Amino acid sequence: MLRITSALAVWALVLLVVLLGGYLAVRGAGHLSAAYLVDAPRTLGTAGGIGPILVNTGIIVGSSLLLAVPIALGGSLAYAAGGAGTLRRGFRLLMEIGLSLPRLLWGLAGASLVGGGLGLGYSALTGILTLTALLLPILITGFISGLARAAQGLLPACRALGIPEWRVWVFYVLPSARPGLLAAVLLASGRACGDAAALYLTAGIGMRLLGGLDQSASTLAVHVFKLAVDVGGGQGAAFAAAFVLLVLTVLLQAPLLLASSNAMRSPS
Amino acid sequence: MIRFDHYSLFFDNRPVLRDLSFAIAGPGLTAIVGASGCGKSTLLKVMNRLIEPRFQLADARNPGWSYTGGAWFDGQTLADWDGDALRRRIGHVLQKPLVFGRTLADNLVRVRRHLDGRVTREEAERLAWHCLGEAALADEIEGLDRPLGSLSGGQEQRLCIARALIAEPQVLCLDEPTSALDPFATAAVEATMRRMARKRPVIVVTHHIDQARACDRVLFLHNGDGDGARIIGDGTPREVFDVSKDSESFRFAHARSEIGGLTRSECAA
Repeated sequence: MLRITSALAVWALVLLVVLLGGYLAVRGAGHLSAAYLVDAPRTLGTAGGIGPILVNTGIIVGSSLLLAVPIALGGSLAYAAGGAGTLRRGFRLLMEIGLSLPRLLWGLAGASLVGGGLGLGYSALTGILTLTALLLPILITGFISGLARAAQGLLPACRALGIPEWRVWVFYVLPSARPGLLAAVLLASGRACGDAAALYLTAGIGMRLLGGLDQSASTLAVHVFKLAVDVGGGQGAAFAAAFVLLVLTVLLQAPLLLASSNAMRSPS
Repeated sequence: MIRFDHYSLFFDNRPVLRDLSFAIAGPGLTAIVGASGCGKSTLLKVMNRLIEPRFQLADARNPGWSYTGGAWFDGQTLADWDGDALRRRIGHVLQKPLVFGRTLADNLVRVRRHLDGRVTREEAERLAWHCLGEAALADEIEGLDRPLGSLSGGQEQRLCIARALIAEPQVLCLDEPTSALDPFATAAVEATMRRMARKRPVIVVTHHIDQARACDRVLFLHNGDGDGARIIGDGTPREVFDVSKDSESFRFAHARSEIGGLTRSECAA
């Protein structure tokens, strides 16, 4: 019964995504073509393509993940391997607060502390650093639960053999926790691609291909937001870019969806 | 080798084990027997410091495990041992067997090399085959690269025993090693236990009377008044289970099943 309900929920979600994708594709049909994915945007983005913006999105999201993943992994390993204590509870609370903070606040904090405080202004680097901070709570909470699940049986079994605890975490728990860690990274990359508020206030709305990290650059989500809100006559282009964003997000989450559907099919 | 002297263990100041005094020296099979939840597994975990209590009673600011009395291994108090070094000398197979990685080599060769970084792969493989032989598994497998998925429950349990032997422990502790096995697998594991006990002390936690009767010595734990489990029987299985008809150990061993008024042994037969 539970399996049928879960399958129904998954298929309802798939239908919803397909309907949304179809709607966006129809509304943005006038702009969508193969060239749209490589051409540079013209007249504030209402014409031309999104080529540079796609590359900029890759640079900003990829760099943020490259920075955030090792920090989050170190933090979550230290948290998972550490004993109970006030510091540990405080860390967990901080992560929960970080998860629930609106993106707009991350953007404002990034703009004032990194953009203003460090003098980086509206730049890709300000966006990358802000996005890194925003991704940390998402990654750390995901990593912690993945590590805890893997450590449950492994830790006592390895300790009973006299294997030093740090070796247990690095050589036994970490490899076993790979699926959970990957799920957290995919989730974070999806969120990073979809974030508009924080990056709008930090990385700005530049549409040219990034020549350096000190330049302003909009990601695809920011581009959609800008076309829909700021640019007159940008609705059609916004729908077309939103369709690409949806496809990109689904492609990023595809391994996760496949893994969960396999888990649902495999016997318990 | 292992000696407990008037040892009591507390959790948040509530007694778990009470006034235990015993010593286990040479090779042989010792069973720790008692009702479920009386503290048998806890005693094993204290022996190799999987539970690390603080000396003397806990106070309100420092709750958790604490102990009074003394416990020694090889003439040195348990607290003075480095925890990992102690656990390499007192091997421990946990109640739920858990195999690592994908192959037998992941469980034996890799573990040995993590325990001792100086050992070569060839040396570790030689030792792995020796341990598999001791665990009566060597004849049933073709190579160390055999995938774990093809092992039966009994083979997995014996692999866990072989893995505990890979550290070359002086003492081996087994926590209910046959609780999830069928009679054939149980017989194979019991034969393995007996063979290993010829070379070193083997301590097995069990509440299977037949298994305990096959041991050289029985320590019977009983938590009668909720004041922590005490050793109320220490001797050969016959001395513990069959001599004093008024004792709790006698009642435990001769408990009648509700099915046809048979004892457990008779039911099993």
